[in-house]
Order: sequence, then structure tokens, then C-alpha cells
Amino acid sequence: MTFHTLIVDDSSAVRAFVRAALEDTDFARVQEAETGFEALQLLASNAFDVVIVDINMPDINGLELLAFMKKSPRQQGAIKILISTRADSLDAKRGAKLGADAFLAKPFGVDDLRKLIRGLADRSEEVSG
Amino acid sequence: MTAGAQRVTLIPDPGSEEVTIPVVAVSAGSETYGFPLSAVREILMPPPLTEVPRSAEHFLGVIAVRGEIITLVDLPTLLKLEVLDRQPLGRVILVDVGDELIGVAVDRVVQVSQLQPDQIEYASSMSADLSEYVVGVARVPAASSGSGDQMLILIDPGALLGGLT
Amino acid sequence: MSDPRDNVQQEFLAEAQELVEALSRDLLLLDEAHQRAERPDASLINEIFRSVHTLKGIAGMFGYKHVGTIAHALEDLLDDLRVGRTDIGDPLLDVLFDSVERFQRLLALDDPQAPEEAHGVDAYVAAVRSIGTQPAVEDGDPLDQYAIGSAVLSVLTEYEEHRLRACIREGMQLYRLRATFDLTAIDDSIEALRDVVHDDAEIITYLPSLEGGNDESIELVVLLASRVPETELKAHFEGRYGTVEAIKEQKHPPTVPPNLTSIPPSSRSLLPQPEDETGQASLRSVANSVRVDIRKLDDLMNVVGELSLVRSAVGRAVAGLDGDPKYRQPLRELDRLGRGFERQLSELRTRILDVRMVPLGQVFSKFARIVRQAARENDKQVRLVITGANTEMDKLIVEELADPLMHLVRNAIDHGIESVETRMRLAKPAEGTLALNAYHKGRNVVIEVEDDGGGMNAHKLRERAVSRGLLTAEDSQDLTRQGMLDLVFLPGLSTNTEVTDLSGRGVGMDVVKTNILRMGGVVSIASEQGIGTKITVTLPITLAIIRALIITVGARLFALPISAVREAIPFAPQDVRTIQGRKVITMRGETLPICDLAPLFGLRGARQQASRFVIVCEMGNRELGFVVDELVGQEDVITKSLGATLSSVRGFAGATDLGDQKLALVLDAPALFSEYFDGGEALPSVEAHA
Repeated sequence: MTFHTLIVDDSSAVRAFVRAALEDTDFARVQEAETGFEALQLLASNAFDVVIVDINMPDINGLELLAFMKKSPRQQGAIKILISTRADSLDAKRGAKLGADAFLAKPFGVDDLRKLIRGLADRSEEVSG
Repeated sequence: MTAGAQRVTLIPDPGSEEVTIPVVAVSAGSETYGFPLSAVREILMPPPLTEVPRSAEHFLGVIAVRGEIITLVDLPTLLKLEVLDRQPLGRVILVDVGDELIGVAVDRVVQVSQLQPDQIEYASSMSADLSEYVVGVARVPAASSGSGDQMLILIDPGALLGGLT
Repeated sequence: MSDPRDNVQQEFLAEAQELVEALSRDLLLLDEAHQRAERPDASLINEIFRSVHTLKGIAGMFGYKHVGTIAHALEDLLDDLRVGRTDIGDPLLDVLFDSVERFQRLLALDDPQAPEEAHGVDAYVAAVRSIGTQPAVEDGDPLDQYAIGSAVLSVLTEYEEHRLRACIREGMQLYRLRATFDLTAIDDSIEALRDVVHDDAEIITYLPSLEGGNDESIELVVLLASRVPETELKAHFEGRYGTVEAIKEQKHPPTVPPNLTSIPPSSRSLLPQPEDETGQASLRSVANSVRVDIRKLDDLMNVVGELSLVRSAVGRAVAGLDGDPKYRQPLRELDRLGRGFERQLSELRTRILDVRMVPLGQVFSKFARIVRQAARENDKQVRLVITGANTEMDKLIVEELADPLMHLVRNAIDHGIESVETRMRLAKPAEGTLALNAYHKGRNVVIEVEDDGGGMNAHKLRERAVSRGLLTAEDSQDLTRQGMLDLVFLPGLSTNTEVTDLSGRGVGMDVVKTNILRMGGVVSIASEQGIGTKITVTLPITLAIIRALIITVGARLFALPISAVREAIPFAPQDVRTIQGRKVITMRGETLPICDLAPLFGLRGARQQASRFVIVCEMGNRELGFVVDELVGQEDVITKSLGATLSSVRGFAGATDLGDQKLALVLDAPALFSEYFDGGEALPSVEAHA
């Protein structure tokens, strides 16, 4: 299955990296958002399988997006991954409370990301199937 | 029209699945040359040629192809072979030599042959006189009946770039 | 599977470069504020923090270990700064400024993990960590006093929480502003909101809400802190945006709730009126720009060229129908359409070229930091004044200009501007002025580097040139004052006994001149002792398209860029004399050396005795006349490079398509001059890349 993925990060290099890492071999179809606002636009009209969000963005930060997604009916089924530079910080703890499915600490590699997504997808299938 | 960075070769990888190597045979001067098909991007009717003063003898000049300026090379001169009767420029083949495309002036395109590796006699096993651009020679049956076998001088495109710059 | 990092490496380098440039600009602002003893702007500090934080993140992802290590140390320092654990001071600023150079150096390395750099990096990190911090003053959490609600608190980042506390401590009141935005235009609306709110309040964060929105719009709750009285805030925003509601302190009994019902929350979009364009211009231009690989522009130009050829071919095919009366009307129509098409093509060509243009301000802004550094190193006071930063030039030229200009700037500060005591003694203002001016003049851009320093001593220059053997004593007698000043461009001359190592390169004015000539430009100097020095650099606006004189030599077409040409006169072979082995003619009483292109190129001039021409060219302060067969005309041409295989052929900058696949070789005037006068290796011109 090809994961319909949204990457929200204000760094274009990170977005390009995630796109290159996931679109190779059709693992995923990737859409990008540079800001929380763009993400809101995309979330309103798409149902994503995976949403990868950077915590530290100006204006609408990753936590706020997670909170929004938690309450939004269209995004209930999505796997939510939070990217942060420190996995043990206060921000990351708040993310866990808001329903993030997993963390990825920067820097991460291609395999880390794919394994994470694959693992979470399998887990959610077990639960629902 | 950008040149690719693919590896083009006449030497098959050991264990590769390729059994035959397609080669474009062209005649220029009094010889027939072979270029790996994978390196030949295009075959053109000769466009107007602009000579470049003070360039080496084997450069015929430059031509314009779809907005790009391409250098046109004369193989017999480059390989220092004697040419007995020079035909007017018949065709230009555009060869990918790695970083750019080079135009090679030919009289005509003879055929495309599928070469078996054992048809190729590699340069290392021949005399050391052969130019650095030549991979080896091959004997192919001619396309038109009754003209017997042809000897193809096989050119290494990558070496062309190195030698010309 | 290939490592995606390789393909995306360029993306990383481009972003890293932008981040470092932004850091550099912001640090200057911070420094300025600090010098004026002003309180630093919290959002500026946060911006600096963000730049470093992002840089740390991507450096780690792409294997730039040293960049990441330095960024990490700086991030901690900046976090302390933005959260109030440390204060701004000179040591902190110095360490921050130092980082910009280090980043640029490390980003330019071939091996991003270079082990030999580790020592320098560790030493620097130690310096960063030595900047002291003091623990924050704990006096109870002010957030406890406010009825903000845990739903909101749980989504604030640590920094946002800190800002909230800081605002409360400063006595600001908290508000919630509810507004609905149309999703398609949300970026613009947020910008507009920011501009309006900016004067009155600080925006802590935006919370998307699930109430009040639909598929096309969304409601955001904006958390604000402000000193402006509630009634005034309401007057500003309500009706334009949505509701404003104060977040009340818990200790006080709830007062009469603000009359929310009088202004019903609107569920249709409330787009504010478009603001005056100019005020938002700078923000807009950043948000609306796209990074473009310049090769893509070249490809676009090729397509335009092809379209032009197709148009000509159509024209020729159509011309074949001429003569038959029944086609007269359609032919006229086709002709008209053809001309319209040509106009559009020409427009397209101009616009694509325009995309290559970038403002010179891009290069100038780097100099502010260098001026500050150079002034400190020399213990002088220098003020940098820039005019014409908006002047645009071809991106390739601007990039090539950075080095020579930097050299001129450092020169002016190291040697031109005097020390504070000297200036005071001369009744000059203690602070010296360095002016960078740029403006368009015809088809060129003129850049001036001017200082109000001590100026140059023309006679001393002459003495030095003679004593270094660069000039014979008798020749030196004939020099005008300007001629003496021009000596500064001779290699091997320097007005100080020590050559200052400028940015680690130790280059001289001669290299500056060579670089400018290579770009097809010229550089000149004017100076008055005691008053100052002005260096003027004149460059073509774009390398890509240049006006050229089309000529023939030996029945072949060539193009000579007009920028080098002064005039063209008929050639009278009988006037040629030989002086010191060189052929010359006399023109208006002056001797002009000539170079016959036909024999130079090994071509037989087709019209031997018939009327030929001399194209009189000027490069810097040298003149040379090229003898050619015919003058065909003038054209705007795009020079395309000849490719690697022919790059060693001397005298040609490339070739151009004159239409109908007729190519003309474009002459490289600087190289030809060099070949004629200096006899050595002709310099390759900067490629036009088209």
C-alpha cells in the first residue's frame, strides 16, 4: 500500500529529504506544507494515512496541529508522527498527551522513518482487523 | 537536450544479462566505425557548419542543434588515419561522451548491428598502435548481400571527451 | 535505493546559506540596538534562535557534523537568551558574529566531516559555553493567576509559555481574538492580521478551532498580549475580524462579561481590505519568491530560441504562397499575426532574462558585517552608507562581484580611512564614511566604492612603480596625474610595506581589475589627497544578452560586444606604419595599435584591397583597433558557450545564433587584448551560461 503522507516542516531541506526518502519505490505519496496554515488547507481537503509534523514551527506549532487533528473527524485514522530535536523535552511530552503516535528525533535516517511508518501501520491494522 | 551521465560501454559486465551489444556502424573517410547505440543520441542531416579559427585540425567547427552549440569532430583526422577520397558531409551523429554531446561527421550510417562479445577483438590484444579512442575492432556481416564482411573500428565515447578537452 | 541525501544536498546547501545570511542580517540589527542601549526586540532574538535551530536540525540530517555541533552550542546560548537566563553583552555578540564566518567556511568544505576542523570547532564551542548565565528569578508562576484553561496551555511550546509569562510580568493583559479565515487565502489574511495587530499587541500563538469553520474556512483563536485598553482593542478589531475577549484573572470576581452578543461571530470569511502594497513589499517579496536553478532559465531561453526559428520557418513557407491573388488576404493576416508573435517572443525573452536579475543589495548586505569587523580590527570608526541596493544585475555577475568588491571595501577601511585621532586632528568627523553606490547607466551598471579617507598620493605611486621596475623613469615623466593614479592597478605595486592579508587571500588591485575585465567591465580610480578615494566599477547589466557589432572577417561572421567598441572607421592601408615591431595607425593625432583579425585567425580576408574597417576598442585604459572586412550591423545576441572541447581555443567567448542556424562566433575582447598586449595566456572570460 502506498501511504498518502503529509509532511509539515518549515525547512525545505527536510521536506525534500522526506519526499525523496518515501517516494522512492512508491512507499508513499508525499504532499508538503511549509506552515501550519498550509497544513490546515491540505488537511481540510485530504484524508492522509500519515502526517509528519515538526513541533517547532512559528505561529501554529506542531502541537496545535495535533490537537486540531485529534478533534477533526476526517483525520481520525491518520498516523501522527511528531518530529522534534529532543525526544525527552516538555514539548515532546505534550505531544504524547495530544495523541501523537510516535516521535522521530532529528537527525533521522530513511530507514528509521520507513520502519516507523510500517510498524505503526501494522499495529493499527492488528487493532482494527 | 542535456547529456546524460550514464555509463556507456562496449565491454560487457561479467555476469550481465546482456548477450549482445547494439552498435551503430557509420562510414567516414575510408573506414567504418562503430559507436555503442546507447551513446548515440541522434542522427542529423548536417546543419550549417561554422568553423572555429585556431582550433585543432580534427575540429570541423560548431553547429547549432535546437539552440545548443555542438562541436563537430572529424574522426579520421582525430585518429590520424589517412583519407583517400573525402565525401561531402553526409550525416552528423550526436554522441554522448559523458558531460556533453559531441557531433561526429560521417558520410553515411551503414547499419545497426548486434555484436556478440566474441565478435569483438579488444585493443589490448592487438597492437599498441591503435589510438586511445578505440576499444577494439569487430567483424560484422554487411547488411547488403554480396558485400562480404565489414571491419568496424569500435570507438569509446568516454575516451573521446577526455582526449578532446 | 539511492541515498536521498545526495539528490537533496543542493536543497540543503541553499537553505543553509539562506539561514546563515538571515542570521548575519539579524545579528547586525541586534548589535545596532545594543549599541544604542535599547532593549532588544524579543521577536528578533527568537528569529535568530529559529535560524540556528533550523540549521542545527538540517545539518544533522545531511551529515554536516561540525556545522551541527556549533549550531547546537549556539542554540543553547540563544535559548538562554530568549528565555531570560542570560543577557546581551559584547562577549555574547562577538561569539555570535564569529559563528557566521565559521558556518560559511564549514559549509564550503568538500568534506563536511573534515576531522582537521574538529579542534577549531571544539575551541569555539568552549568559548560559547563560557558565556555566563544566571538562573531565572522565580517568583511564583504568573500563569496560575489567569483563566487560560488547560486545553490551551497543553498546546503551547515551552517558548510560547515563556513569552506568555514575560508579557504577564510586564503587566500586559491577555486576550483571545476569534476570527474566521478563508482557507484559500489564509496566508495573506494572516499577514494582514499581523500588520494590524503589530502595533497594539504581541501575538503569542494561533490555535485552530473546530468550531465555526467548514470545508472552505477555518476559525482561529489568536492569543494576544497587550497594554492597549480593552475598549480600544475591541474598536480596532471587532467588525473587521471577529470577537475580542479578555482573559480574566482568576483572583478577581468575574466582572460584567464583555458584550459579545452585540457583535455576532461571523461564519463567513472576513477578508480585510488589501493593504497598501508598498508597506508589505519586503515581506511579500520573500514569501513570493521561488528558488530557481539558473540552468532551467537557460533551457527556457533555448525553447524561446527554437520558437523563433519555427516562426522564421513558417514565414518562409508562407512566402512560397506569394503571388497567387487568392492568397493575398490570408497572407496579410498571417503577416500581421507573425509580427504579433515576434513581439510576444521578444517579450518572453526579456522576461526570462529579467528572472536572472537580482538586486545588488544581496551583495551589499554582506558588507555591513565586514565593515564592522574591519573597523574593529583597525580600531577605526566607520559608517557604511548604501544607495541603490535595488539596482538589479544578472545573478552570475553579482556572484562574481562579491570578491572584488569586498577587497575594495577592506582596502578602503584598512588603508583609506584614517584613525580616529588623525581624523580629529584634521578636523574631520571622527567617524569615517564608506559609501557603496549603484545605479544604471545605459546598458551598464555602475558601482562606486567611495571613502572620505586620506586619498592616494599620486607621486608616491609613481615613485614606487619606478623603484619596483614596473615603469622606466622616462616613461614616468609623461604620466598625467590620472595616469599616476592608474598605476595602482599594476601587479606588484602596493602602497604599504606589508600586504594586508585580505580575507585570507592577499590579493591586490591588479587582481580586482583582472576580475572585472573578465566580466566584461572596467574599473577606474579617482582620488584627492586628504579628501578621499572613489573606485568606479562599470559592468554590463547582463552577460546573457549583449548588444554586439556583427562583422565579417574572411567571409565569416563574428560578433563583437559593443561594450568594448568605441568607434568604427574606414581602414586606409596606406596609413599603416610600424613602430617597435607593431603595426599602428594615427587617429586624431594619437597612435592606435591595430590587429588584423584575418591573419590572426588564419583566414584569408576575402576583400583584400577593397574597403575594410578598423573597429576601435577600449578596455580599461588600453586601446586597440581590430581590422575587419565588413560591418554588417548591430544585434542583441545571446552568447552560448562553446563547450568543454573548444574552451581552450583563444579569443572566443562563445557563439551566437543569428537565425536560420547561422552561427557567428562571439569575440572575447578582453582575451584578445590580453593576447595582443601581454602576449601570455589569454584569460577565459566568465561564461555567459546561455
